[in-house]
Amino acid sequence: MEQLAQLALEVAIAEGATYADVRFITQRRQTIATEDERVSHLSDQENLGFGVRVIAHGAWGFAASGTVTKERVERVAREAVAIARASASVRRKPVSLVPEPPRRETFRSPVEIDPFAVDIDQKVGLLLAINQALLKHKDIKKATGYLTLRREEKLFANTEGSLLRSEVVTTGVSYTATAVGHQDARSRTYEPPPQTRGYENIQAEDLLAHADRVAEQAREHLRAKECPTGRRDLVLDPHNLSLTIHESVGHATELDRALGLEESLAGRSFATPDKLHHLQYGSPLVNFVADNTLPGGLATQGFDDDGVPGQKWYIVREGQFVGYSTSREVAGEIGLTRSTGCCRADHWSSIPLVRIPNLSLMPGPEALTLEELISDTDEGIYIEGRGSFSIDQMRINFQFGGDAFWEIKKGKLVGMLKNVTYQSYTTEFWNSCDAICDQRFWVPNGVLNCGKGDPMQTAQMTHGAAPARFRNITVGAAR
Amino acid sequence: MRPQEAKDILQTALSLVKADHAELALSGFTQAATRYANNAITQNLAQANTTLTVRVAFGQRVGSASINSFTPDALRQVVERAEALARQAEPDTEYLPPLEPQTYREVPAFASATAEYTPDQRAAAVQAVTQICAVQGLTAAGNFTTQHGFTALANSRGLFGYHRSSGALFTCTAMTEDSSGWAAAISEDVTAIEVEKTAELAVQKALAARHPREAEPGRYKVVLEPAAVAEMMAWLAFHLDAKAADEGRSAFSGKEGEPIAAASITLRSDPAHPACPTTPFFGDGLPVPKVTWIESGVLKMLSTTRFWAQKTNRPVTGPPTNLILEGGEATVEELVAGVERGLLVTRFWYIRLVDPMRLLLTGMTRDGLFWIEAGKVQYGVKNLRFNFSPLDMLKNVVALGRPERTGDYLPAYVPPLAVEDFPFTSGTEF
Repeated sequence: MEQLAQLALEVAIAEGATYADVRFITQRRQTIATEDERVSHLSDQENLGFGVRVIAHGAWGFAASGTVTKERVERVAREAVAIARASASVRRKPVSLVPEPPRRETFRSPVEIDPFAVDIDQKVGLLLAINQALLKHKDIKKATGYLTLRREEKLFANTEGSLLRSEVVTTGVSYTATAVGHQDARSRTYEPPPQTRGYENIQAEDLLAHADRVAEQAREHLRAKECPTGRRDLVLDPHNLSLTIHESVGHATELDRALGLEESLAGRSFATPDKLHHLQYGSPLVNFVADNTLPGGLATQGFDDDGVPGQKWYIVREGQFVGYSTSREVAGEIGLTRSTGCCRADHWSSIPLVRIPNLSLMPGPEALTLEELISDTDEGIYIEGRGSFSIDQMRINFQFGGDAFWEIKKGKLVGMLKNVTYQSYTTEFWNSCDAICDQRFWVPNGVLNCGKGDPMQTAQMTHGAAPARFRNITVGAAR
Repeated sequence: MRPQEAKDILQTALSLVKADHAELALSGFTQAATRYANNAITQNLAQANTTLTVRVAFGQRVGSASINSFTPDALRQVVERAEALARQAEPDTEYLPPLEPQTYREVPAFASATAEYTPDQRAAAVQAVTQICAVQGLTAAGNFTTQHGFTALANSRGLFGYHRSSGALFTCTAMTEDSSGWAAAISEDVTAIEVEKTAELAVQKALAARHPREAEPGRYKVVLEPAAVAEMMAWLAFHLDAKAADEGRSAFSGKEGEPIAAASITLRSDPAHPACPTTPFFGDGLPVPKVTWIESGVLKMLSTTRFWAQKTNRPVTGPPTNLILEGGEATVEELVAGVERGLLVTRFWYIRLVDPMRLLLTGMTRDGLFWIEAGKVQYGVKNLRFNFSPLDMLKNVVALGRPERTGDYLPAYVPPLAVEDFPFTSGTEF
């Protein structure tokens, strides 16, 4: 494979490229889904291919193929240069990459148990046992389980001399109970953090231990009161926050979006470079740290697809907007001398894009438990888990739901609510944050299906958080 | 890949199967995309891949595996991986044995001009578009995508199917300092894509939307352009599942045979519709039928799998593969003429499900929201968030225009609609 990689680079240079990189990738994905007492899906997908990316005539070209032969490698490298030549006919200025020293290194996710070596009947049996435990409960008419196991082996080489190998393993599991009543049905989901770890991340005892709680909360959800309308204080759990962070901070601080490069599909961002170091993104309590070295983090992959190693940096520090996620191409546009290493593709056939890193809301500095936070809240709503999520294309107006909701009155949870949505504006929302629980309550939840690009790609990243409170947020607009 | 070549690979793989049943799918595509932003090409790619998926069953124990290599070793391994999964799996009690050989409708959906389109041709088109925008002082962003491919099926009972298709999609967002306008063109045949006309439409919208004013959130009569209609209707289509309805988990529970929409609403799927052809078979080889989901406002059919159709004694429909919403002859301008005070919506963005039991959706307007007064578009307004169900939308339809081809994710041929009492719940800064 290394010889084929060198061949691709040599052909690209011979055809006129001034820079080229090539990725050979083998992906394997095993997916198991269960519905009640049946195995509704069981698949094992594998694919191998390569993509060649070049700069020629000052413009990008990219070509990829699933046929891995010497002849095809040569053809695809030539095709990438021809595409770059076409790109050059409609360019504003030559593409320029900020410097990155060449490396020859290998990265592997820490894996104790190879998830593909675990017997299928053990995996299927776990999901069916969970469903069985859920279905024992009155009113639970539907139980579903989902297990995803992924491995990506990559060889990256570029014309600057980098030769990088990585093997990233990802494991994730979730299940849902649905209670059905008279003209209504309500669900509850349990999803422990997906991580770049082996099958040891799928903890059977923990999954089974939560089944009764999940089923009973689905039942209670069915009998819950409707969400009030107006403004309430919100206490959000780490799982709910993970999606709010993702949409209102993660995407908003991708530099390609801020520069207008994603306008045609995902949109742009209000967080433009003129606001860097000037915008009060959140309250002084709010720190967002990007960390692509986070152990087990979904974006902890050794290097990005520019060949830049994982790094750790602030996006928001004490409330102030101070950083972006970048590629080598866009970093230079705002005068950065090095990329933060966030340029990733989801497949050998995909072009690398700026992707959200592992991006976390840091825990509060003072000792604070969830119970203390709730008991300090007079009238509010406590939200766990993920639900509906929608945000405008400049990442300003958002509306989120959740998986389970409890009314807070005089510092106590007084019963579940249903159909809760909260709507706010990104900086107004983060500036309303007045309490964050401490490190003990910080959970590294993750997103496995972040969509971006055109053609659409999906990426994965971790968003850690501890429970936090937000004052005076609009709730219940969705009726 | 030609039909015989595909058939040879499928037959070779089938000959290796030891399981009771096997269903194989071989699909390949070549895609090229030229993406532009800030009046320049920013990404430009070509990708190609072919995947074989092998689904096997021992009794009702089912497993599937896929691969993108077709050497004798690779074929043997993929069959073995599928069989290993199936042997260890617990049963899928809804599994039905493969279908007997079927007859498929011929659906012309391939244009060689699309398959042969070059990077230089796409770049020339983008150059023309960026010039149209630049001349007016606007910034352009968009994508010009062409793709072609095939799907071939075979199973252990002798079924064989083959379909090839192509597609071209051109999108353009034109932007001023404080407004944007969007337009798109989609066709199987790239020569039918009118790039400059599409870009000019986006420019007109962006210019008309300059200096947007604020509109108070509230209920408005709206005219939804076809792209906006298709986005709402796709969510309705995704939730037509009969099983969820029968189990009391759906907004359609207990609604079959009931009026659910204005009498003017008839919604169908038809794989051979000339304006939006789709593959004539599902992945299991079942021919895609022509289905009327809603007829004159009455919910006539929910979507069924083979298993659920058999269990509940309904016809088997499969999920909707395209959406054909009957319309009239009116243009968007003529629908606007019928609005005393309201809003014209170019398209929506980031629609998500809020409550499945009511099919309540939320989303934002995007790239062209206009104030209508006295039957005329008056000025652009800042974008708004809605919370509304497509079921309520269909009840409130008061006029339908001429259908157009649209829809990225689910091909659609839908008209613009005039809808009463469309609720917007909050605004944004642009």
